[in-house]
Amino acid sequence: MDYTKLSLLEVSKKIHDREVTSLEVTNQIIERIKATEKLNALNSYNFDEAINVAKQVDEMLDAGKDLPVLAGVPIVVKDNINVLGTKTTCSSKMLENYVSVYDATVIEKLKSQYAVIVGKANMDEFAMGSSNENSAFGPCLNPIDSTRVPGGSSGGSACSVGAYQCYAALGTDTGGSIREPASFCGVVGLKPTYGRVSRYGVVAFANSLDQVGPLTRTVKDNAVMLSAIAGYDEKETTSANVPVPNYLSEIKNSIKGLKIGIAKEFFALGMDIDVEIAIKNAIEFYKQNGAEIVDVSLKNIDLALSAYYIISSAEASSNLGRFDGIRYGYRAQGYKDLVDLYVKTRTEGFGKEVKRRIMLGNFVLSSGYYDAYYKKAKKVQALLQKDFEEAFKQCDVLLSPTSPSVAFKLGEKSNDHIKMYLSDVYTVPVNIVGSPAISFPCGKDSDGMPIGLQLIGKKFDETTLYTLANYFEEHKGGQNE
Amino acid sequence: MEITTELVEHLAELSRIEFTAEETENFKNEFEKTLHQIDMLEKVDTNGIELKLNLLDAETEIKEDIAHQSLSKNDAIKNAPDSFGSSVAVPLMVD
Repeated sequence: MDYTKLSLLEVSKKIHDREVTSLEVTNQIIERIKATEKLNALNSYNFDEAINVAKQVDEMLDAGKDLPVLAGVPIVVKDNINVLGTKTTCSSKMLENYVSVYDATVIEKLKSQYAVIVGKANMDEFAMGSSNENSAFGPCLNPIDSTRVPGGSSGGSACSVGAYQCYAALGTDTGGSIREPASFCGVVGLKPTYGRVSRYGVVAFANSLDQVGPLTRTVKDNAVMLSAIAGYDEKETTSANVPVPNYLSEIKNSIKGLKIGIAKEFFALGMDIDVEIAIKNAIEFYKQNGAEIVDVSLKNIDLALSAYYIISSAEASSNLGRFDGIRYGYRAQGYKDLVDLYVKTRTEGFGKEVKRRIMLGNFVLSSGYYDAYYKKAKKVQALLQKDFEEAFKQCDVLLSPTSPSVAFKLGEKSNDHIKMYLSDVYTVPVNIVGSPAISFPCGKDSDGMPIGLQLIGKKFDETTLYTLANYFEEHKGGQNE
Repeated sequence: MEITTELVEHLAELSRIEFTAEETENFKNEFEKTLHQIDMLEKVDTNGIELKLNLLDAETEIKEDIAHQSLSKNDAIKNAPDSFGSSVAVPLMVD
């Protein structure tokens, strides 16, 4: 039997019921990864360790031990999350040979559940990009149509899940980096509330916006993963001390009375016709099944993208200051003095998009421009937060497309960075306000490419997102429909 | 606003990144496009808006000042491009 096509919950049940061993499942996944290697979804493999963990799980289960749901289940981790003893490259030449000396908190949590980590996923360099084309190790391809991008920056994570190379993957989302690739690859991706999941051990892009979240093939699998990784972490001061529900058991079977907000300004941002049709059909579906559709206003939404690029680049320029060729990472050769070492290392080590963001960040933070750009953007962020707070007084969730288009062709936008930035127009506002949001497949375009629907929730209310997304998936069809 | 070559060179220096003349010119053009996009914020009235430090409405937990076991010296220098004993080695800075 081919176990790779099962969902996480299905394969977990079979492993726990001893219908199949974790070792056999892991071996099938490894074969699948090798057979689909040309997608370039993974930067490195962790097969030896994966097999060891799988065997360990099998021994414990055979001995009658009660293990958590993720035990023995193969997963993939984005290559900006530290996993002890693995390379954590951020898809950058700067960290090409960097080997993690500790586990990120999310990895400690997954390891405590005996999840089987099979590899580290390709991504846009330092998580900066929307197509995975900014990887120093070559682009990852879309698993449905390999002439297209998988989205980014967690392109490898989404591709790997979509290509049945694992049952779940971790990604990170600073402006849409989990949701946009989930949408492009036809999988489910959740960006948790800011503070829901610890960022300890995750290479920072923009600390005030970054969150780690799961990508899976089903909504319920996603809920299982979030329960496993969420929670307060004393090592991470922005993690929130808010109890973690069992997201799976909190999923409700009815959506009657739930209020779904539609902001007309969201629809004015522009989207492809196939996307618009799919989104309107989804709204109709929810309405017919008892949800209430409410018109709301997000009057400053068109400012979000600009505020995002200022704030995220400012933080990135500061974070990437640490890559100087001294303590770890790449060091250039043939330097004259210390400053020359810094300059040569950074010039040779960083890719084009990363340099662009460092320059922009240093501009908006520099003397004479700080008030006009950075401070202004932070004030616009406060305005947007107010808009969302007002909107959430009238509804439980907000609905929009995840991206204005389906997955685009490789190279189509790589020479126009503004066009590329516009791919994130629907996802970026969510990071700016700190809300949780989920993307799940809601239809296909005329070429058979998946279209993602985004639901945005109130802070710490991932549960309602899962209920609505699961209802759609179970009654109207998700990834495989 | 107009982007000059001098401004790009100044930012490159702040960023500790070197650009060729061609790259500087390309960057200047791209930067103009980026600023054209983000300059839309200029018109927004933000008078009286208070800046928030934290996206969460709750207070951030403050940790007790207690030392915990951290990375060992060996682990901390494992990824150093050059090391000497248990120290990171850097180029000679003073003669």
